[in-house]
Amino acid sequence: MGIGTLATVIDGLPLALPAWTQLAAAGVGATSGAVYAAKRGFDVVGVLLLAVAEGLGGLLLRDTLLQTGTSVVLLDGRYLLVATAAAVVGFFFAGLVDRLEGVILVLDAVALGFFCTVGADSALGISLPPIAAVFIGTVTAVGGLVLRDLLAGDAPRVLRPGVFTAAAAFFGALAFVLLETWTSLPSGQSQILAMVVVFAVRLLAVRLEWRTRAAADISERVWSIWARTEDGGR
Amino acid sequence: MSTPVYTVVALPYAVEMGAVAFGALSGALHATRKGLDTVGVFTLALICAIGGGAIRDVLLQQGAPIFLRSPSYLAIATLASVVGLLFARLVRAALPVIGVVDTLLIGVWVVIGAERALVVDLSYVSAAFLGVITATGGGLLRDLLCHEVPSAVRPGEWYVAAAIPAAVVFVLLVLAGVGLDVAQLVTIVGAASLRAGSQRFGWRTPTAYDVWGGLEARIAASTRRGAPD
Repeated sequence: MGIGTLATVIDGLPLALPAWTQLAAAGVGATSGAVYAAKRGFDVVGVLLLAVAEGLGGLLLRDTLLQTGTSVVLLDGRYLLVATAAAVVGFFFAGLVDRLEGVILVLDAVALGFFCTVGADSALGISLPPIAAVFIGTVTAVGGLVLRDLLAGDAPRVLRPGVFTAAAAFFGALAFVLLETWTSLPSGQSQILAMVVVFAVRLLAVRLEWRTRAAADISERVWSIWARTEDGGR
Repeated sequence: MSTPVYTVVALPYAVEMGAVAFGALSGALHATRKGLDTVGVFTLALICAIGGGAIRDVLLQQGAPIFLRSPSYLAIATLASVVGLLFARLVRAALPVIGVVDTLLIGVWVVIGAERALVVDLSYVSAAFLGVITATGGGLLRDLLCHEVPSAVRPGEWYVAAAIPAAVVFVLLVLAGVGLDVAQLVTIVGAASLRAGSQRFGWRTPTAYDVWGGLEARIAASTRRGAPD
C-alpha cells in the first residue's frame, strides 16, 4: 500500500467520533469490572461498585485532575445507567461473558485506545503541555483498572509485570499527542489512528506474550563502566 | 428536563453534626478493635466521619469540600475521635446504642449527599449515586486504609445494599414532587429497616446468579492456572 492510498484512507476517516462511542466504551469497561467482581464471588454491591469503578473511574479521575468542573460522568446521568446495566449483565451472565474471551479482549483493546485518546484530547483542549496530555491520556485509560483493583483489595495489576496494558495506553496517548501537535489532521482522525496503534500493541502483546519486565537495575553496570574509565585514565 | 427550583437542605444542622460525631466514634471503635495505635484510631475516626462527604465534594467540584469550609465539621470529628480514643471502654459499652444510631444514619447521609447534588442541578441518577457515596465512602476508605477487601463488596449484612435502594427511592420521591420532609423520612426509615431486617433475619447480600452456568467451573479452572491477567 503506497503513501497515496494511506492518505486516501485517512482522508476517508470521520472527522470526529459520534458522542455515543464514549458511553459504549464506558459500558465495555463496566462490563469487565462487573464480570471480574462476579468471578471473585463479591456480592451485588461489589458487582455494581466495580462496574462503576472500571467503567467510569478513568473519566472521573481525569475530570478530578483537570478540575474543569463537575465530571461529565455526573452531568450526564446516562453514564451511571450504562454502568448499572453492565452490572446487571455481570450479575446474571458472568459465566457467558467470561466464555467470550476473544470478543472481550477486542472490545477492551478498543475501549483502552478510546479512553487514552479522549483523555489526552481533553488535556490538550485546555492547553495543557503535550507531556501532561500523554499522562492524562494514560490515566484516563488505566485509572478505571487501578481503581477496580484497589476496591477489590488487590495490588493494582497494571503496576505488576504482566501483559502490556498501561504500556499500550501510553503509546496510544503518545501517538495521539504527536499527531495532534505535528500534523493538521482533525482530532477525530488522529484519534482513530492512535486507537489503531493501541489495538495493534495490545493484541500483539497478548498474541506474542510480550510482558512488561520488572525494573532492570543498571547501577552495577554503570558503576563498572565508570570504574574502568577511572583505571584507563590513570 | 426542567428541574424544580430546589434550594433547601432541610435536615437540621444538628443532625448532620451528630452524624459526623457518630461516624468518628464508630471509626474509633473499629480502630481499637483492630488494635491500631493512637494515630491509627485518630485517622480512622476522621476518615469515617468525613470521608464520604469528602469524596462527594471532590467529585462535585464546587470549591473546597464542606468539611474544610465549615469549622464545626473538623472540630466535632476531632472531639469525637478524642472521646473514642480516651474512653474506648465506655464507647464499647455503648455499642448497642451506636449500632442503632449507625443504622439510622445510613439514610441521613444518603439524604444529605443527594440533596447537595440536587442543589447544584445534577441529574437524579447522579444525585442517587452521590447519596450512596456520601453514606458509604467513609467505610470504603476505612477498609482500604486497613488494607482489607472492603466489606461493601463481600457478601454479608446489608449496609451499602440498604443505602442504594434508599437513595433511589429518595430521588424518585423528589422527582414525584412529594414533600421533602416525607421523602427524607421515608428514606431514613427505609434504609434503617433494610439494615435492621438484614441483622434481625440474617439476610445476606446476594452474590452473582449465573443464569447461563459455567462460572463456577471457570473460577475453579482459573484458580488452578493461577491468578488471571
